[in-house]
Amino acid sequence: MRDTIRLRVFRGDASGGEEREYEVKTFPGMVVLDAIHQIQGEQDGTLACRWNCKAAKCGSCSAEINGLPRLMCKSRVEEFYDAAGVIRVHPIKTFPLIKDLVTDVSWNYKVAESIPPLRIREGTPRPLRMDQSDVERAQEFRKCIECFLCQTVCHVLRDHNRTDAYFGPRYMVKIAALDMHPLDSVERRSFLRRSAGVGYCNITKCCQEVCPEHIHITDNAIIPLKERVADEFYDPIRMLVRRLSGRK
Amino acid sequence: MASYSARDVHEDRAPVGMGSRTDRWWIEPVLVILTLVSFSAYAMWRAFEGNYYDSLQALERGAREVPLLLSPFYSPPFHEWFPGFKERFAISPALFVLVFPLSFRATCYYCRRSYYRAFFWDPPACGLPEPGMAKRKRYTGESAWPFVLQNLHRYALYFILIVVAFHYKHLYDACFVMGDAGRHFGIGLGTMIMGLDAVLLSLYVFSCHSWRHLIGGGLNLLSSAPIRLRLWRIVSALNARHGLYFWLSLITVGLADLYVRLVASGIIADPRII
Ligand code: SF4
Ligand code: SF4
Ligand code: FES
Repeated sequence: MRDTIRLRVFRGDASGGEEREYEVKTFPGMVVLDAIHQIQGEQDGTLACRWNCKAAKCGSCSAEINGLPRLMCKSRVEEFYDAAGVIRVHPIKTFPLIKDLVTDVSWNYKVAESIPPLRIREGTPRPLRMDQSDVERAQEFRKCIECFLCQTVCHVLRDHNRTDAYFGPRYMVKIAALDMHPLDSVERRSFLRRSAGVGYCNITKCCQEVCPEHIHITDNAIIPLKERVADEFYDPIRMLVRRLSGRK
Repeated sequence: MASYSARDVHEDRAPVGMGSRTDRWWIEPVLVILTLVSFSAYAMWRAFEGNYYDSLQALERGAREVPLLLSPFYSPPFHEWFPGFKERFAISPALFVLVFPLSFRATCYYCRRSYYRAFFWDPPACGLPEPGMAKRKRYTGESAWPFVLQNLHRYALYFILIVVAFHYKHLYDACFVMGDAGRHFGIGLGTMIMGLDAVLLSLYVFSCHSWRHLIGGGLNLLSSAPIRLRLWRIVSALNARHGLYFWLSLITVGLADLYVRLVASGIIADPRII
């Protein structure tokens, strides 16, 4: 590993900004968040960043390192610097910029509130019992740390700015966890299609590529949800059978 | 070093293009384009050629013994069911056959991912700004015409299941040779290639996301259907490699057709193993 690296960090806010370069001394095991802390401590105390656990579990330190969304606390510097020792660190691009590396991700919390919560089927005997084979799918989704890396990489939100139409991959994961829950009784398919906008996802899988919890967002959450929505709205034979048999 | 002012800002965000990737992200889309374009060109050429799809043709060209190989591009064998098809409609029966694998692959979740990236630049690679945003129509993805039709993938699956069955029938036929002594058992390189094609096509089809949903993914109480649960687990394991099977089966189906063409046109003789 090099003794020093050059961090090009974005400095600015919504009125404008620029990359500024800082030289940082390295040490074994150093992650990008360490480098940011070194800049804060020794060179420029006004550099703003958000972090909490430094253990890749709180989901606060999301940033874009060399153009791809990552957790700064999980990114070893030696995996990122180029031949000239440069690493570029920018704020996540999909959400309004507050300052430097800090963005306002509150849109996500509003989306979360609009999702119909779990409602246990009436008459389910207590204590509640569930078979492991029925809950393991949802368990994968419960690993989510709400870092919003998937939300920021999703081109529907990032490039097309369709926050008006699509909830984003993090909330497909959340809805999948609820919808696949063995005791849940809420019908979410129409909600998924209309309000959550599952059809906007074109399964290009960038969310799955960046998820630090390695959740198979597209394979295990979004595609199965798309199939469930197709059962309901896009399968003419199933729709006919439902109509003939009088089921809704 | 990059900088921007409030003029470049959209909805108070930092501009998407600023500080974007400089790695070799373009390798994947280039490979996808090259493979898909060359395969399509080859398949179209073979379909319009309308010849050398049945190895028996080699007998007419003087071969003494040939394995019974039928090109996968001509399976199901419409040309046998409707003889004179080509003359009557002036198109190759292969075009009818190709509709099935083509619609299955074109609506395949994995294939969609690849061509939306490589051909539509939606996005070209993760985190990369999409080119020509100013001229693009408002994005609707698969929620509106025409891509909403991708939801019919399951119907393409139903048809491809029939095609898979035919591949096994042709594999069975490929275990025989035809010669002066009539039809008798015999395994050659052609049998192996047909076998590889049938197996890889099966892995591709049975790792399909719609199949996974049909088998058990649509159930919330999988524990109440133990057989479906077990099958769903197997399909889920296969599904993790769906993309790999997509490419492998694409290559082997082309290879199988090429092999049949070489044998049928008398360019090579099928080496017998047993
Ligand atoms: S797969 Fe869908 S949700 Fe995930 S990044 Fe791509 S468009 Fe967004
Ligand atoms: S799904 Fe993964 S990438 Fe998305 S918010 Fe959760 S942990 Fe982060
Ligand atoms: S500091 Fe908690 S995830 Fe990085």
